[in-house]
Amino acid sequence: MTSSLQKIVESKNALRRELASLPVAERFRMLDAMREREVAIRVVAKSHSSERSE
Amino acid sequence: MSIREVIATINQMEADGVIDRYAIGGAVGATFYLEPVATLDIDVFVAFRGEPGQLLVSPKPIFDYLASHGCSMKGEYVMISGWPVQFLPPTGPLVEEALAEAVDSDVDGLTARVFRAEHLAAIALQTGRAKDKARVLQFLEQQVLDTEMFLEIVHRFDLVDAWAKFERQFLADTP
Repeated sequence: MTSSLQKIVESKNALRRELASLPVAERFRMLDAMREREVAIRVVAKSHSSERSE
Repeated sequence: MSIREVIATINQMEADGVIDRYAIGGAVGATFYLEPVATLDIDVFVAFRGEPGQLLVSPKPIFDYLASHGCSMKGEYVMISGWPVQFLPPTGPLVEEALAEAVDSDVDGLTARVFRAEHLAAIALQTGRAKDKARVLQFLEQQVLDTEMFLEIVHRFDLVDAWAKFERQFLADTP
């Protein structure tokens, strides 16, 4: 692994550790936000696909 | 849309006697120990109650209760506070033990019962899909497992071969 790639991996691991150290309620709020985005994307994708089929 | 509200609803179901004991597993269970793990649903393991006069246990009382509290059904899921929630019976001895030994965890003043990290990792190892293997790696990398307890579970539930294969595949080159 090159040193620049090593740095990227290390910084990603540091972010993961930081997220894991948040209170669990905060982590759940992040999951809630991800779910809201996923639902919103699905609604838009569905409306686009029905527009295409009309 | 709130996992906290889902937990409150399930706690109420337990208090109202609809379910005997529950524990959260899957990605939401893993999020108690790791960074947030993206997921589409919430897995809740429950010991289903048998209905009087019936030999087979049924999830019907759960669905009836939740329907009477305004929740809708979507396939095998119940929508609670915007989340698809799946109520699952223990699928084998490992999950039965995970449910029996699940621990209480605080979520903003609310108590939630969740599988131990060691059981979650062992269940992921047993399930063995790519995303499950990724989850085992997350548990190892974040060093949240009691290694002795995890390996004891691996041995007791006949997962030694799966663990050896996992070690060869993913841990052999770890610096």
